[in-house]
Amino acid sequence: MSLTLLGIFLLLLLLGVPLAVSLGVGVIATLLIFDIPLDLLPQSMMSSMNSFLLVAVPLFVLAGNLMAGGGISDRIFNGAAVIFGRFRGGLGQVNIAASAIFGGISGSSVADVVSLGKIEIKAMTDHKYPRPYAAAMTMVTSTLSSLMPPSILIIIAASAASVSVGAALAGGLGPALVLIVVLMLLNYILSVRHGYGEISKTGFKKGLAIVLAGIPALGGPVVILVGLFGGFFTPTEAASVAVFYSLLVGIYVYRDMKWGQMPKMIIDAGLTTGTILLIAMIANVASYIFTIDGLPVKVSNWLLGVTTDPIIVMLLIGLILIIIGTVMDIVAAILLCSPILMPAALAAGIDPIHFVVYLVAALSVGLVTPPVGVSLFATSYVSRISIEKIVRAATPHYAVMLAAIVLLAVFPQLILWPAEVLTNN
Amino acid sequence: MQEKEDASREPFEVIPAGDISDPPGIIWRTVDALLFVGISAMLLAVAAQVVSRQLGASISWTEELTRFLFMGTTFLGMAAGFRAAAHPRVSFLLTWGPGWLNKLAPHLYAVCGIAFFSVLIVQTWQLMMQQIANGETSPALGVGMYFVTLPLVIAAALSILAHIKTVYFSRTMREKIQEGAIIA
Repeated sequence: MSLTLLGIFLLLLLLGVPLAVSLGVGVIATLLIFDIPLDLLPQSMMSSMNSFLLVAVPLFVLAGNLMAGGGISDRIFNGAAVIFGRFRGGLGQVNIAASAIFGGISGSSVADVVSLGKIEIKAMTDHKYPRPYAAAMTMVTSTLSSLMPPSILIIIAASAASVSVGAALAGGLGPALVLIVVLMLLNYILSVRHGYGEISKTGFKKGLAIVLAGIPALGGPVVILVGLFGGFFTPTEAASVAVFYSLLVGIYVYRDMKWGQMPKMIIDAGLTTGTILLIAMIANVASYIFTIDGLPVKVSNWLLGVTTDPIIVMLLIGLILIIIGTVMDIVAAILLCSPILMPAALAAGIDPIHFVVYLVAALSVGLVTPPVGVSLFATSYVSRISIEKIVRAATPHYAVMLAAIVLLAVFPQLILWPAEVLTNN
Repeated sequence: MQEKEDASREPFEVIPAGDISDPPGIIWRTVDALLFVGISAMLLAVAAQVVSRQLGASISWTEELTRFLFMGTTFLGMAAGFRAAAHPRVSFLLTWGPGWLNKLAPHLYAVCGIAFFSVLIVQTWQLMMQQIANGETSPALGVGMYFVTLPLVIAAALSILAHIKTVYFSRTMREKIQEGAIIA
């Protein structure tokens, strides 16, 4: 049953049919072949969307649109450039810091590349960084948005796995910090070794003015994180606060945005949400088929037959996820892999929060690799550099990302400790 | 050293999702208006929930209203996504594969989409009829559950319309689908 579904899905997917429709046709064919009532389709689709938690998705997407349109992204970058630009490889570190802060509001990797990417790549190339290197940094740092709270992907994954969304979001902070540290180290080493980038110092007065101008932009993530982990808001409520905050800062503080721009941003947020969540709706039906076919149990038995060591199980799961992530859209991969692989992880004694965050971290590698990495395509578009050149320039970054995934498998506390501290979970 | 723009870039193109060459007709303008109103109302409902709770007088129906608005706007957003051909797809075979595959792609795109949404319309319609027959209502707002299901029927019909329009009545969108452009 599962093989029929997956076979039809993969065939249509490779022939260029949209992912959600490929999965939908696979689901309908499987229901018909195995004589399962078709009314499962609308019932399951409706019930998967009947969730207050998922309301956070359109609101965070809207917050990302407002940040880009309201000049918040620019201020974040400029402020970070004044602080880090005076060091060797400084603008590379700015790229990392700015993406981390941006991710702290928008939670979307593609939004990071499209809004911050142009500024980052231009600033880095103006300061004598090779253009492919600047593009590679921009692309890789965009994955921070998948991990930094309030990551949309972690919200979807935690919701699908029925674990605490607050704890999973807090758990994402650990991998995000690991990735920030390893990327900063790599950028420093490469910049020193190859002499990348010139040091840019800004005068005290001008620098202070730029940093002060960046403070309202930095207030966004602070309000969201304090509200979320201080128990003041639920993730959905935090998303609405992010929207209002970005709106007020964009219109009244920076004055880069007008009320008239709002309708288009809202409509775009609706469209983006529809495309993300159609996959979630149909994946919910597919997961049900996998469950009645016993696929999670089969996979669990196979994995535990190889080893029962939790670290090896997580490394194997990581390998499977990285391979899947390179050929499948990340939302679909999260929703299809979570019910299949989670039983094996739980049987091996792995904490569900560790599994959910690790799942997103491992799959997010696929955002920046060919052939389906949306951040890779978006970077190629904004930088006007070929995918091949970006991939070549990003080779060391891929290596450190893989090293970070191994660290997360070996040291669960990197995920569980922030989750415990921030949410008492 | 700084490099010039790469002239031999890959044949991928990333198009902003909302950037569609064909002007919207009355149907899609209505969808856009409903998306705007729905998401704005959703935002206000969540804000009202936060404020009322902080004031110690939680409003009981905001959570349900938000969920229903979210479902409706997500379904409509899904249809709008097909109008923009913005749903994620794997296109490397179309870009690097044989020419016949490139020609087949838009037709397969249309046939699969229309088939899927046709089944969805029939099944969702039947679900809606059951809800009407059983007199199902929501707990907090007391609205008929068919009212929550109806947007999925409408969105599925709009998705079929969008497939036909993009593949057979819009040269620009058809070319995008054929070329395997990535719409982000």
